[in-house]
Amino acid sequence: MQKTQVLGSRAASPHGFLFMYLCAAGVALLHMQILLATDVGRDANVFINNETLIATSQEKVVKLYGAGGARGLESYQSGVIIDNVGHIVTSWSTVLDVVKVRVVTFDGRRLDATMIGMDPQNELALLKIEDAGIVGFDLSRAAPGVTGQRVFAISNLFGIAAGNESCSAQKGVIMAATPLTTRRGKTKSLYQGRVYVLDAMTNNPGASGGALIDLKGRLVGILGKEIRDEQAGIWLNYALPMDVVKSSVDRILSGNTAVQTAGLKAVAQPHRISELGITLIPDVLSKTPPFIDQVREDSVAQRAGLQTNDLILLLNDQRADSRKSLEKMLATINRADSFYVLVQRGQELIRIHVRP
Amino acid sequence: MICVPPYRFGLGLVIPLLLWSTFTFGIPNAAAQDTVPNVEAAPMPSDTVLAAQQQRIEAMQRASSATVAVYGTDGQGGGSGVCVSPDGYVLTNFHVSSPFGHRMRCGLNDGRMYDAVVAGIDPTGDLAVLKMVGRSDFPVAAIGDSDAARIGQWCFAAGNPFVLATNLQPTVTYGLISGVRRYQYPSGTILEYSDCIQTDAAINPGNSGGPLFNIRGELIGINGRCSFEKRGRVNVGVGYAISIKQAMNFFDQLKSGRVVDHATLGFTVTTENNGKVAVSNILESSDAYRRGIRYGDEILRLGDRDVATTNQLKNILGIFPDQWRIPIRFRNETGVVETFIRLQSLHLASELEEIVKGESPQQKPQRKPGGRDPAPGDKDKLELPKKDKPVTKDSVDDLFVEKRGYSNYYFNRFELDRILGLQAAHGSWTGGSDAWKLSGEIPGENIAVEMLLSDENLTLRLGEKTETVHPLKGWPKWIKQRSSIGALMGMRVWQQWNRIGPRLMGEAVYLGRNPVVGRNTLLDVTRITVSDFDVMVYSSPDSGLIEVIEVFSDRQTDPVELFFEKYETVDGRTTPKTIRLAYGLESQFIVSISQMARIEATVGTGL
Amino acid sequence: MFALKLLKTRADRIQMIATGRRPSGISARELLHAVSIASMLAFCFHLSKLFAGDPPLDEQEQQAFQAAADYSQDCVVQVETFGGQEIVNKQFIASGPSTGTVLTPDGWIVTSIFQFRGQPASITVVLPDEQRKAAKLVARDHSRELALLKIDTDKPLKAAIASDRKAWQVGQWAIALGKTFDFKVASRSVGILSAQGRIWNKAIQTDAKISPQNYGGPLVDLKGAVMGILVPMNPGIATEGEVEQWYDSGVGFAVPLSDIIERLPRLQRGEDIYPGKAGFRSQSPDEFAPEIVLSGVTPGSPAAKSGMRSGDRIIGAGKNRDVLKPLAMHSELKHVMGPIDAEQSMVFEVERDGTKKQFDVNLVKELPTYREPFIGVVVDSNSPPSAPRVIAIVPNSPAEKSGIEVGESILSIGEQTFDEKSPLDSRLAFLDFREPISVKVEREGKTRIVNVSMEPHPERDFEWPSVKVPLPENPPESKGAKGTVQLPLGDVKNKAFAIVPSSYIDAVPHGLLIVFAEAGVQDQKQWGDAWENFARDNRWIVVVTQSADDKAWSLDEVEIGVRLRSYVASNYTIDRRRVCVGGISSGMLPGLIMGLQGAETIRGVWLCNAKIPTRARVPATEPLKSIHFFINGVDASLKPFVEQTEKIGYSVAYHSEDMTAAKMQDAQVLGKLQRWLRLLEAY
Repeated sequence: MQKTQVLGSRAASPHGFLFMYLCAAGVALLHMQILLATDVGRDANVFINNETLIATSQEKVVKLYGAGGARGLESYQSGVIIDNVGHIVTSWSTVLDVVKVRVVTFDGRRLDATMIGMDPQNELALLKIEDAGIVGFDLSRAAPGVTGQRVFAISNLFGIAAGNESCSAQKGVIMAATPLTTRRGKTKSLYQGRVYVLDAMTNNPGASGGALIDLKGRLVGILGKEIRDEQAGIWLNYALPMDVVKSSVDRILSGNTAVQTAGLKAVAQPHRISELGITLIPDVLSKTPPFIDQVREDSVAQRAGLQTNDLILLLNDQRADSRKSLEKMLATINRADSFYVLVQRGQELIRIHVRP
Repeated sequence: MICVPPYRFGLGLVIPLLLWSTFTFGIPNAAAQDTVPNVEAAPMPSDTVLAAQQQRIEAMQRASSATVAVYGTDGQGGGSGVCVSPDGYVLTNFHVSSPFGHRMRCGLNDGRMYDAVVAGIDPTGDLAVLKMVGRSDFPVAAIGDSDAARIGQWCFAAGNPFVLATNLQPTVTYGLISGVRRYQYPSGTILEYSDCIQTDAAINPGNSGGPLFNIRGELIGINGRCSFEKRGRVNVGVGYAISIKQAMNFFDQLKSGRVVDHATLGFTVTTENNGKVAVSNILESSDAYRRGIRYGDEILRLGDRDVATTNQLKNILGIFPDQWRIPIRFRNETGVVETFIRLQSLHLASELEEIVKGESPQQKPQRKPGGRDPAPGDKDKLELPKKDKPVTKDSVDDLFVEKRGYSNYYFNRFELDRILGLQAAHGSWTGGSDAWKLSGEIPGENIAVEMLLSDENLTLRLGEKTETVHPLKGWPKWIKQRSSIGALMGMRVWQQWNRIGPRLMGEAVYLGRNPVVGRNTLLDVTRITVSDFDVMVYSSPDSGLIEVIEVFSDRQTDPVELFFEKYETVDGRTTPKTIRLAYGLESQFIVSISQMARIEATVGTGL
Repeated sequence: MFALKLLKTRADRIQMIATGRRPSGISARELLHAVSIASMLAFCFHLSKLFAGDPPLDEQEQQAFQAAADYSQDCVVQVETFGGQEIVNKQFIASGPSTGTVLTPDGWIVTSIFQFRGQPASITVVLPDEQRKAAKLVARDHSRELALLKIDTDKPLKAAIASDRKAWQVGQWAIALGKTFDFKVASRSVGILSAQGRIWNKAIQTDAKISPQNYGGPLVDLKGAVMGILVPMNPGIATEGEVEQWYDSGVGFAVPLSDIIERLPRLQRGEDIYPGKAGFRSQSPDEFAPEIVLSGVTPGSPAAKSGMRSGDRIIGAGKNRDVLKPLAMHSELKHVMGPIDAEQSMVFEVERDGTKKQFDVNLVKELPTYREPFIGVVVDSNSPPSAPRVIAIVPNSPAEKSGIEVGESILSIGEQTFDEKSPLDSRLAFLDFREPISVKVEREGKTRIVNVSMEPHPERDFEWPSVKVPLPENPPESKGAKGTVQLPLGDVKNKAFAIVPSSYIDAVPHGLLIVFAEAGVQDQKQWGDAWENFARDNRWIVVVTQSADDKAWSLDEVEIGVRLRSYVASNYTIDRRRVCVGGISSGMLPGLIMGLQGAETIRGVWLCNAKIPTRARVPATEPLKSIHFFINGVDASLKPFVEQTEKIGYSVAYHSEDMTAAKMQDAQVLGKLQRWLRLLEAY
C-alpha cells in the first residue's frame, strides 16, 4: 500500500513519467533476459540453471588412465582438480600403479600427472599436472553435505567419455551421512570414517574419484570406490566428505600419511565367558544366538544380575548377533574393565553393568 | 485471475489490486488443492514447487498416452515403443521387434491391445517401425529437438521395464541427461548407437524401444541400451537413447517396409597427434573421391556439424541413411572446400539379409526379461514348444507381404501407390501418342533446343548439333562422358514414368525421403532398376510432382541429374517448363521449354 | 517462473486496457499511467525476486523434500534382528538393521517380511528417541510381503498419516525413507510415482532408490503423508531372492498404506494373510487374450462350489456386486483378484450359453489337491464320442463293482453328456473322485442308471488281460512305415528310432512312448526284443532317442522330444490319452521337463534309474494336467520326490529297481511298467 501512494503521487508529476519510462524500458529488458534464460534453461529456474552449473564443474573433472585392464580391474577412473596449480584429488587405487598417470582434461588435452602422494587410510591420492591452466574447485568454498540435500555426481563412469567429450552427470540426494562401519552388513573398505551415502548410481567402474557438487556448484565430496555390503549383498553409492578430503590433502602435502589402524584390537588379558561365570547354549548354528544356558553361583555374571535364558543382544552397544561375535568382542575388553550388556528377558530389554 | 477494473474507478484502485495480485501468485492447480484431511501441521510446499510438479505430471500424462507396450502375439516377451503418427506408426528398437517375427501386439494406456505389424527395420541402427491397426486417431508424441538436449537438463523415460505393465500403464522414470552425442560401439555388425543421449532416468530391460522425453514432454530419443556390469541386467544409472533426430531421419525409410541400411563415407579417418581428423584411406570409386577428397585431407565439418574427433565423425555419420547427400567441409593443400557427398551403403544386401535371418524368431527363443534358463520345477519359466497355430486372417495380415530384401513389402507398395495417387491430380499422360516433341531454348544464349522422344530413339537438337540415342540401350557410355544427352535420358524417364508408370519401367522400389542439393525439404525417392542402369526419381511429398531425376550408369560414375525447376499447367496437365541438367554438382545447361507436343504414334518397345 | 509468466500477462493486459481505451479518448497521460504501473509492478516484483531471495526451483524443491521427510521421519523406526540363519535359498540375508513404520501410537509397526526369512531369535525396534524395545512378530501378509510387529510402549508413538490416495498422479514427487543408518534422521531417496496398480494391483511403483536400506520404510508425498510401505516385490517373473536383485534399479514398489490399514484388524488378531485362489483355469495362457473362457474348474475349489463351470466366459468381477468391473482380458481379471486375499469373498459375472450369471466365491489359500478320478472302463475309440462303448473293464475297478458291462455305451456321467468338444475324459476330469456319481449307460436302446463311487487313478501293479479292440472291416491302407523305423532329426547330432507294430493301421489309434534313453548309443535289437510284443498287443508306438553327447543329455535337447512327437503324430494315428515320455538315467531330466511342459498333452512320465535334483518342484495337479508317474530306481533322492509328488495329487507308481537297456527284457520291472502303460487307456 505504501508503494501505491508513492506511485499515485508520482503519477501527477512530469518527472514521474520520465522515471516510469525508464522503469518500463528496464523491465522490458529484464523480461527479455528472463525469457531467454528460461527458454534454454529449465522452465522454473531463472537465475542458475543446471546446464551451466554442471558444464562449469565438468571442466574441473578429469579422466584418468593408468594400470589395470587385467583381472577385470578397470584401468581408468576420475579425478577432481582442486586448485589453480593443477592438483588433482582421486581415489587411491590400482589404476595409479604406473609411473605416469595419463590425465585427459575436459578439452581433450592429454597430460602426464606426477604422484604427489597418497593417503591409504582415506583411500585418496593427490596428483599434479603442470600448467594445464584450468581453474579447479575452490576448496575453501567446499560445503559440508546434509542428509536429503540435492547433489550432482560428475565422473567418467564406464569410461563413456573419451577425449574432449564431457564426463557424465548424475542426479541424486544424500541419502544419509554415516560412518561406513555402521552401514547395514559388513563393508569391504580400508576407510571406516564418515561418508555420504547417495541415491545416485555412482557405484560403477570409472566413477571413483569423481566430483559430488551441490546446487551452487560447490564441491561436496569425492566419489568413492565400488564397495559392496558383503552381507546385504548390495552395492553402495557413496562419497567422501570434503573435510576428510581436505585433511587428507593437507596430510599428503605435509608428507605425513601414516596409516592409523582403525578398529578394536584384541588385548593381552581379555574377559572370557567361562570366567564371567556363564555358559552359553552350545554353538551349533552358523549364528548361534548367545542365549545364557547357566549362570554359576556368585560369579561376576550372577552378581551383575544375568540370568539363565537371557539373550545377549549388545555388548557395549555393539551387536552380538551370534555367540562367536560375542566372544570376539569380549576378547577386546581388558579383564580388569567393566562393560555393559543389553539382554532380552522375555519381552523385556535390560541393560546390565558387568563389573569384574 | 484478476478482473480488469473499469477505467472510471481511477488508478488509485487499480494499483492496489494489481500489486496485491502480483505478490500472491494465485496459481490454481490440482496439487495445491489436494489436502490430506487429518494433517494440520503438514508442510506446505511453495506454489512454485507445486506448479512445476503439476507441469511435469501433465507432460507425463501426455507422453504416457503415446507410449506403447510391445508384446508378441501370444502375449509373451515384451518391450516398449512410441506412437508418432495418428495412423499408428510406432517407433521401437529392432532388437525388440525381431524376436516376434512380423506380427505383434501393442498396448496403450487406454487399456486396449492393438494388433500391429512390422513395417521397416534398421538392424544397424537398432530401429524398427511398426504399424498399429484399429484406430485412425492414435495419440502421438510431440517430436522434440534432440540437438537441443544438454547435459543437466531434466528428462523422463516411459515404457514397460520388466514387462510390469500388465495393466498397460507405462512406467515413468525421471532423471537427468547425463551425456549427449555419445558413441556406443556396435555389437558385432549391428546395433551401433551413434550420437545417442545418455540418461540416469532408470532404463531397464523392457524399456527398450520406449521413448525418452524432455521435461516438456517432447520426444527426444528412443531408449535402447544400458551400461550393465557386475549387477547383471539391472539399471545402474546409465541408459542410452537413440536421438529422435536420427530416428526421424530414418522414419520415412522405415515406413517403406525395407531393411534399411546405414552409410559409409567411402573413406576412413584417423585423429592425428596434432588433433586433426584426417582422411587415412579413401576409395577411388567413392563419391567423396569424385568431390575431390584425397588422402590426408582434414575433415572440418560434416552434415552441418563440426568435426574435431573420430567419434564426432562417427556420431554424425550414424544419423544418416545411405544414399543421402550431405554437406561436408574439408581442408587440403589448396585450402578449405565445401561440397556435398553422397553416402554409400554400409552393407551389401546379402549381408543385411544374413543379419535379419540371424535375428529372426526361430533362432531366437523369446523369453521374458528377468527369465532364466529352464530348470525342472519352475514351470512358468519353460515356454511351451511353439505350436504352429493357424494364423487367424485379420486386418493385420492384410498388411503383410513377404518379399526378399524387405521386412514387409506391403508398405513399399503402399508408399509408391501414395506417390502415384498424388500425381494423378496433375492430369494423365497415359495412352495417346508415345512420340513426344519438346521445343525450347537455352535462355540468354538463344540456342534453340529440340527433343524427340519415341520408342525408336531419342534425339536432341542443340543449336546445330544433333545427337541420337537408343531409348533403352547404351546409356552408360554417354553418362560417363557427361554428355548433354543426359537431358534426353532424364526426360525419357519422366515421360515413361507418366505414360506407363514406374512399375512397368523396371523394378521400382520406394526408398523413403532424401534431401536434394538446393532444396530444404526432403523428397520422396523411388529407385527404378532398368537393364544396365538405374534411376532415382525424387518427387515432392506434397504435390507428388517429380523434381529431380537421376540416372546412374554405375556407382563409380556421377549420375545424370535432371532438375525440373518449373511446371505449368497446359490443357489440364502439369507440364515441365524449365529443366536443368547437371553432373556431379556442375550444371551443364538449362532449357526453358516453350512447347511439349505429341506427334503421330509409332510402335516399338520403350523403357 | 510461473509468477513471471503471470506477471508478464498482467503487464500485457494493462497495455491492452490502455491501448484498448485509446479510441474512446484516453489522454496520453492516462495511457502513461497504465504503462508505468506495469513497469513499476514488474520492477518491484523483480526486486523481490532478486533481493527477497526467492531461491531457484531446485532449491525450493530441496526444501520441500526436507520438510516432508523431517515431518514424517518420526513414524519411521529401526528394526533389528538377532541370530537366525544367514543364508536362505543360497541368498545372504542381511543381518544389519532394517526399517519399520509405526501404524498406531500404541505400538503396532509394519515392516517388510524379507528380513525375517532367517527366523531370527530376537527382533528389536529402536525408536527415534533411541529407546530400544523388544518386538513381537504378530502376523505376516504373504500377499504383500509385509509383517506386523508389536512393541509395548508407555508413551504414544508418532503414527504414519495416510496420504490421500485419490489425489495421486504419476509424476508427483515421492520420497523413500529408511532408518538403517540413523535412529533419528531418516535416510531419503527422492523419486517420482512411476505407476499405479502394479503387481496385480497390490502396489504402486516409484523410481526412488529402494533397497534393504529402506525396505519396510514409508514412501511419502510432498506433504509428508505416507503413500505406502516399501517392499521387495515382483509380478512373478522373478523367483524369491531375484526380487532383491532389483534393488536401486529405479523400479521399486510400495504397498498403499490404506490397503494395510484395511487389513490391520486381521493382522492384529495374528492371522496371516495369503493371496486368494478361486480354482478355475482360463483357456488361453495369453494374459491379453480378448476373452476369458474357463477351460476348467478344479473340483472342490471355491469356484466349483459356487457353481462355475468350464466353458463359462467371465465378463465381470469385483469385491461385491456394487463394484463389479467389466472385463475382457485375463490380465484385467488378475488385477481385480490381485488385492483380494484368501478368506475374502468376491463376485464373478459370467456368460453361459447366452445368459449372464453371477457367482459369489470365497477365495481360499490352498485349493484341495486334485486327483484324477478313475472308473475302470476301456472304450472303443471308434464309437461315437457322444456314446463311447465299453470294450473292457479293469478288474476290481469301480466300474466292475458297480456292474457296468462290456458292450454298454456311456451316455452321461453326473448329468453331463459328451460331444466332440467335451468328450468323456474332459468331463470325467473335472469331477471330484470323492463324490459318488450316477452314470447313464445304454445297450440296444435300453438305458439304465448306475451309481459309481470313483477312485483315484490306481498306482498299484496288477495283472489284467490285454484289450482286444474291434477292427473296422477292410480298413484303408496305412502309409506309415512299420517295424523298427529310423526317424529323421535333420540338423542335430541326436539319433532316434521308432518301434511300430507290424499290426499298425491308421484306423486304430496307438499309444506313443518317447524315451530319452540313457546317454550313449542304443542297441535297437535290445529295444525291439523288449517292446515289440507289448507294442503289438496293446497298440503302442515306442520311440527311442539318443543323446547328442554320448556322456549326458543337456536341457535344450527337450526340444528333440517335441520334434519327434510331432513327427510321429503327423505320420501315425496317435491316441492323445496315451502319449508318454520316458527318461533313463541322465535322460531323466529332459524327460521330466518335456512332461511338465506339455502337461496338458502328455499323460504319463516314466523316470528310470533316476536321480532327482533336490530343487525339482512339480506344480500342483489340475484337471487334464495331472501327469501319471512311473518311477523306478534305487537312488535315495527318489523316495522324497515320490512322497512330495503324491502329496500334491499325482498318481505315482514307484518301484525301487534299476533297469538297464542291456537287461531290459528280463527285468521284472519292465512288466510292471508295461502294465502301467496299458492302464492309461482306461478311464
